[in-house]
Amino acid sequence: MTLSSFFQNIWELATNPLLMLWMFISVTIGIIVGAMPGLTATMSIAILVGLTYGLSPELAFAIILSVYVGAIYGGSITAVLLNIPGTASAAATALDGYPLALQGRANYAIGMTRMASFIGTLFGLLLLLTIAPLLAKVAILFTSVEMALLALFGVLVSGFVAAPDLKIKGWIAAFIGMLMSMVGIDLLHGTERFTFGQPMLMTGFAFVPIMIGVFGIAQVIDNLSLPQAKRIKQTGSILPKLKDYVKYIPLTLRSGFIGTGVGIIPGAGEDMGGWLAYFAAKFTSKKKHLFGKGSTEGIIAAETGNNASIGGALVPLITLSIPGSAPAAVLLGALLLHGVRPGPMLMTEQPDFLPQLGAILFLASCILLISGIIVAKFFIRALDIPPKILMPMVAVMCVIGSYAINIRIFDVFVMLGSGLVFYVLHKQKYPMAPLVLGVILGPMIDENLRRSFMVHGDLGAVFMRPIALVLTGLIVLMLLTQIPWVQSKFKTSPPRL
Amino acid sequence: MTSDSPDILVEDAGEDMGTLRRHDLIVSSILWVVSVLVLLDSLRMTFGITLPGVEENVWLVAPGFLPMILSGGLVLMFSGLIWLSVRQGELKGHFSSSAILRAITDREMVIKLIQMSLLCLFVFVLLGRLHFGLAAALYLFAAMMVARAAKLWQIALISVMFSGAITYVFGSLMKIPLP
Repeated sequence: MTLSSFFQNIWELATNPLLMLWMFISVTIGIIVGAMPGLTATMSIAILVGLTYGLSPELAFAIILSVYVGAIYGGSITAVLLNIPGTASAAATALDGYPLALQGRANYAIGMTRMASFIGTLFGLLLLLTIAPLLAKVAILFTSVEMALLALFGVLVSGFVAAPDLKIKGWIAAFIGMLMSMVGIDLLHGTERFTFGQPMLMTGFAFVPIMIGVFGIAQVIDNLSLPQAKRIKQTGSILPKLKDYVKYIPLTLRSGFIGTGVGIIPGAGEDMGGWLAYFAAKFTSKKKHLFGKGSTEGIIAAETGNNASIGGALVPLITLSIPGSAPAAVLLGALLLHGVRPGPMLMTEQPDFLPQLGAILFLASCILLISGIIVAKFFIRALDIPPKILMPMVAVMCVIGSYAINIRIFDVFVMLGSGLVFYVLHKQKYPMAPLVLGVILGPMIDENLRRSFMVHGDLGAVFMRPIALVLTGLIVLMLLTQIPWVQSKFKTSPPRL
Repeated sequence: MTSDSPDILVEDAGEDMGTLRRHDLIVSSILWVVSVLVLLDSLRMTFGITLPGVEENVWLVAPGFLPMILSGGLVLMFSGLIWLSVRQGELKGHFSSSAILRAITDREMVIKLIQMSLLCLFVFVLLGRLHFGLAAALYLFAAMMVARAAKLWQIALISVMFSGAITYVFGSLMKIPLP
């Protein structure tokens, strides 16, 4: 049923010329944005959420998803030409893409990464369409308390996975995010929380300005002093030969599996998908010595892995309302803003949503094949714009994006305030994705948890349900494993000689 | 990290663990105090509140319940981070007046502070008082000047053209309200 609806949606979207034009423009902009060092997929989606608010949900999602797909691929262009990944997800691509460019095969590398990105996105999409309905059937058994615990588990896993320094910093970011979402009038009892009598705080902090501040302003300040890099001259044909690619199909499939699997883990993201697929390719390759020196297998694995993570990251987002990556977290914000409530009930309430989302992803990845050539051939000079000129412009866009949602200047203040405050935390290696996830999922955790206490009346009855018990156990276990005393108890000491 | 790793992966390689932990100590201490204040307010909202229609176990459904758990968790985690920072931060001599002066007069730090101030000026002062296009052009001009992005006439041209273009595209063409 989903598949036939999926093809029907493809047909409907493909025969809408205006929508296709917007998607084409969006994929192209996404590639350029992804290719520019300092501009990230998450940042561009965060700004777009505000700018597309007034559009129809179908068009808004088409634009946002097209930019998402384009930006994840776009990072590989600079990885090849500048040795600077435009997005973190293309970091693994640079290891072999740049050496290939130095060998005079820049266009070959760009062509191969484009094909890999296309197949990777399709692979992720295929698994999304297969897994999501099954997972939704399981998730429908969840009650309020289980939904709250699952969301809390997702936020904590995201903090655990995304923290580049100490795991505790990921959790701190997530807790701060959830606390920020508590500001305003409590929806269950109408009590004011942390408003200090200020009318502006009564409605709480909108999550879009926080997202834009965290991912936009922090990047602007960070990248203003970024030096302009020199591009490597592009030589060779921009169109890869199909027979060159066909021999890498098994590698592509394996990397697609890894990328999608990693994408499903909350907070893991596209970059981890790319890295793991790259390491798996290196581990199993017969030409290990070429890795890091210009291996085609390396760039294909990395690009397939990171693009396949897009579909993977959407699986928990659609079924459990828990995004698998930072851009998916921002996408969750966009969905909520347009009245789509992801979760187990989505398949029942809006059965056409998943096929439509899949159709947009499919068309966006097809457009990527054409748009990628156009960007690599004609718009590549956009990479020569110095960050010192680009970043102040991005700051202005952040202001427009945060204001457009509620037409409220307070949201612009929140955007700038959160951007500046969390820039300090970002420099201290606190991950920002768990924070945003906390802001978005905080109200859901709070409401569901207290509602179940209201129904059951006491603590014990709520946590005695099997699923709740398992989830509580997992959360406690995850927290305990980070306590040094517990770690030392379970550490195996080396055998004495 | 291999020598052929892309540049972005080694962006903070210069910042050693000691420096990170010293800065952690400052940030964690400030946030610890904030967390304690939030915890106190959450406790008031959990145990010092009456809710209509709720007779038993009021604290479980009180609006302060989750904030209490979260802020309590933050106090614990910040305490742990402070303890770790003191242990690993090599604090001796790093909080002298000369060290603090050196840190705040660092060229990159000064430029970043100026850029942040310009953003604040743009958002808190110029927006709402001037037309959006004019405010944006002024901000762009100042930000690019501080960053020494190009020649003076180029910066002026880019600022005016970009602010004019976005004001027209978003404000007039796409009908998106501008601040």
